[in-house]
Amino acid sequence: MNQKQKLAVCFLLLSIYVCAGMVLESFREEKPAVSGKGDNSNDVYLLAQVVHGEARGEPYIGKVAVAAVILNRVKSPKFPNTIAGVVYQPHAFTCVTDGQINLTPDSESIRAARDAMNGWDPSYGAIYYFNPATSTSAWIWSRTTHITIGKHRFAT
Amino acid sequence: MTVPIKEKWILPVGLAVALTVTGVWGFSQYRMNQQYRIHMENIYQKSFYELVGNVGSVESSLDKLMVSDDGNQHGKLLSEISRQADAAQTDLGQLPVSHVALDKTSKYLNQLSDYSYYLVQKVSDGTPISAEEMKNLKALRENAARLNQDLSELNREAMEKKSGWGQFIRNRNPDFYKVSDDLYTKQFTEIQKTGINYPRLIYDGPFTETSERAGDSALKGAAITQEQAKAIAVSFVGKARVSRVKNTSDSSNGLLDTWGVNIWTREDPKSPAYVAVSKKGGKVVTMISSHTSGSAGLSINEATKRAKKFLDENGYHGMVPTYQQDFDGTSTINFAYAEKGTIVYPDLIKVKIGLDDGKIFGFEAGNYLIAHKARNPGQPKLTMEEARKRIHPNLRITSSRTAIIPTESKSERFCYEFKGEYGGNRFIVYLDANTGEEADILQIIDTKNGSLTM
Repeated sequence: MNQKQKLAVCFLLLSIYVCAGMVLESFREEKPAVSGKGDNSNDVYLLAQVVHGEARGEPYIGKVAVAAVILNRVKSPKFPNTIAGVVYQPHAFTCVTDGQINLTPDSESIRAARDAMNGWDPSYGAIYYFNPATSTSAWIWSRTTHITIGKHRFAT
Repeated sequence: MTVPIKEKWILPVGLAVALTVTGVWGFSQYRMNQQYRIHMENIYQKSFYELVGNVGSVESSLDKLMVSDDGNQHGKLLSEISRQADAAQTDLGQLPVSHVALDKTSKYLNQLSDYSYYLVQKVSDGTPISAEEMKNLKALRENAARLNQDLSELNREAMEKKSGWGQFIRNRNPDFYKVSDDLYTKQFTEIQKTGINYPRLIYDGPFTETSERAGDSALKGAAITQEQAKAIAVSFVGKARVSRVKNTSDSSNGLLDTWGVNIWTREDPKSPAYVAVSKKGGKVVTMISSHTSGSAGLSINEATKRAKKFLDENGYHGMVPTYQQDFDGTSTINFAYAEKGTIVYPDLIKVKIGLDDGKIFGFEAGNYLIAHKARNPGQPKLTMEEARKRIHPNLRITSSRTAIIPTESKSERFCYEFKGEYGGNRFIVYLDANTGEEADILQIIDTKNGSLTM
């Protein structure tokens, strides 16, 4: 085999690899939502889905704060007046844009959503949050920060 | 004849390149397709949630209408119904379900919106709603209740069967579409057959909205240091329970600045409880913990008693329980400040207590700390009996007292509070204690986890 043939084999292998990747990818369907046991409120569940998609691995109050931001947005005149309206606003939450919202929330996310619903707000009225390590928007940096919890900075 | 070596590799390499290009193209198409799918799925989900929400509000507003005896309140409720029915109609139009299946539901929402609008005009001219019209509204209410119930059922099934709206679209087959076995179409056809729903309301007790108040905070006192905050937090949680303490992020929102303290308790060694102490005055503003407990040894009465004792120990006297809900072996109890028998709803404190051993796992007094002051409401112009006469005869009154409630314009109103029952639903009606106007009507939604403790 000469050099060129080796190259051709490499190309072939690469192609197969890409194709296989696509096939595998298509099997990796996102898991649809399942109702939490004993949880009869759509709103708590939807909030928990966002908390799970956005703040997995964050401390508990960081989770409560993410849910509180959504509720603060519902109350704010700048945002839609329903939880679903706020959550599904295009490009408002990354987990909605990339479909991670459809993962099944864990029990801690559901508890965090419920605490926020019951009036706990560790974000102290924040309507934005961002990760200072990855955020490139100059605008978001100009907001007044209320509190930093874990990786997230909560602001108005 | 042999192909020269030079040309032998051209074909495979060419093919490989073509395959790679196709692969990359295909992959990017696939990614794009997936993005669109997620986007559409989101729109469907949003529309569905909002539909459920709007139909729930329609039902609740119609319920309230049944027990209201005030022209202004009628107008307010009717215009809400009209708006909510319109919104529900829009949501319905966004769902990937055939028009046939939704025909009657859509017609119902339309009629309801039009009829309410017509009545708004009438009521605003000063003509009261006639008995006949009330009968119509009652029928419309029944339909709203049906629709609401069906929608909840639909949502529950969709979640259990793990089929999202996108799945619905993908499974859609033109041939059997009309007699589709599919969950959504079937369910909606059922809705159309029966005409037209069950209460859904975020209901965590009266007036629990965290209303940001403008102006000065009632919080007074000297500035405290971070170390002092740490000590305050530890004694608040109880020294014996604390295994580790660490200062964490402080917060500021202009109205209330706090020091944050993380406390690891013996009950939850892994996940710390967050306690925030006000920089001015050194008051504990909030405590949040993800605690759950398996066993529920304490009765609701006992839990309420312990929570109240805890408040008294921390200097919050004269607090009255107003609402209580249980989840995961903990109970969240709302307490409102009471002044000479008048409940002051804006001054609210929430306590989360473990139902296993009565330890405190959550506390929220932000509103109270900002708003609390002596109210001195004075003598109402209307007597209790005069007020009672103004209540709609439909409402079977079970108890009454005076209360100060927050208004949407962020002020306060001195009212008579009447609790009562009509048609299997429970309501709280607030009548202005001086003018006799209906200030607000709340419907009590009983969930299996929550109950009103008054």
